Amino acid sequence: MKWIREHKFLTGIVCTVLTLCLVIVLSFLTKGSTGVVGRQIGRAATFIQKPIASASYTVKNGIFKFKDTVAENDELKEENARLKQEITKIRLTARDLQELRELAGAFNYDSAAYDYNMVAANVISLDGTNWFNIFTIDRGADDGIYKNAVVVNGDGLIGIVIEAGSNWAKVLAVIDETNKVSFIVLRDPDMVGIMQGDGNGGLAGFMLDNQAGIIEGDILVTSGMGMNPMYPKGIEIGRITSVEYNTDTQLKTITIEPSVKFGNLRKVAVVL
Amino acid sequence: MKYRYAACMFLAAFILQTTLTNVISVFGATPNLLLCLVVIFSFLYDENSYGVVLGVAFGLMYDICFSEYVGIASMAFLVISLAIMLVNIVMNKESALSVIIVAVASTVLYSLIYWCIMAMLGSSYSFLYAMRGLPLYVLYNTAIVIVLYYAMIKKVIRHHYDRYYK
Repeated sequence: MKWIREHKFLTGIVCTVLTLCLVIVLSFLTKGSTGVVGRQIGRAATFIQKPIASASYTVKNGIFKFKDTVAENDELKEENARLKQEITKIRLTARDLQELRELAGAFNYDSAAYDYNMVAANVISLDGTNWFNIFTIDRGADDGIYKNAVVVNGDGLIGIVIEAGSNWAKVLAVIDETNKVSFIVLRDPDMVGIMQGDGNGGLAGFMLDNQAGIIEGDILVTSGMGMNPMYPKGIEIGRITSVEYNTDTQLKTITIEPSVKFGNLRKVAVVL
Repeated sequence: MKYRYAACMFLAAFILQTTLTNVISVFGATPNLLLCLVVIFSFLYDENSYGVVLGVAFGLMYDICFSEYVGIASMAFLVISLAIMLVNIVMNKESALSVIIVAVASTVLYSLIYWCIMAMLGSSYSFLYAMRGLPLYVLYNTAIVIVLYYAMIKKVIRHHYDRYYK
């Protein structure tokens, strides 16, 4: 005790280091959950950040563009994104429609549906590090958002919710994820594969069938298979940029350019 | 400087860090305002431990709000603050070159600590990818630290017992 009294600063530092180590380990074991205290801090931060984020975007746009042009541009972007999503859905549905109708009659099969409930949200803050893609949105558990809910925008798949407070949620981009996501090729939905973040800001994966006839430029969409998180079927993931046959693993490996530009996100939608 | 003023500066940096700084990002790189404050307070006010205490506190808040895991930024700020307090023994506080060296080394150290802890927790990011924006990041942070240094250095060197104090 005498030694502690004589070395208060050093004792404080050692205690802080040990506490922080414990916090990091607990955070890892609980998969990033911050508990009741963390959620209250997040709530307070959201309350302050929301108007600042909104104002900062307004100032930025005001400096570089005329107000009307910005409004029109935003409107057109939203419409373009919505139409892109529609095209993806229609192309996918058209290929499966006939077969699904037959199956529906024979096996009481529910056809692929796209009527998920969605909640629109604004991005209010981005992670300050320059390589992670974590951001906070201004909607949370009060709007029905839950952990592992899938986040999209008009361009395609963004990621999943890793924590939801009452009026905020933390979103982890799909390129940061270590979770594997099952996909199908839009051109031929019989071609199925698995992909995940490649550790270099992109996506990489492999085809389940090593004879699959995929080519560069093929568009990939979520397959709807898998649980926790369950990615709804038909969300665009990205475009194949290279295809290689790995002789060691005997797998056809691919690299994927994500459809979403993660550096410039403002509005997203959460699938409920 | 009183603790409450220092805390206000950290709070302002915490709020601006994740909102306004993303608007002024250059080539995707954003300045780390909290790190800049930890550097400048550890360098100029090492006797008060502002950098250590406020760095740990606001690092935790930052992690809770914006990071995948809690405690990493806080740990990085703690290590950087202690390292600066140690090297202060041989540094000349009135030399701008000293603060530039400290700012550059701190930014590199922050990136290394963050990447190391995330790698231990299973992050898939490669070292080269994590460090790809480091030169720009170093420039950005160093510029902000220099501005803060010149804004705050006068308040540090003017003491009542200094002969030139008026």
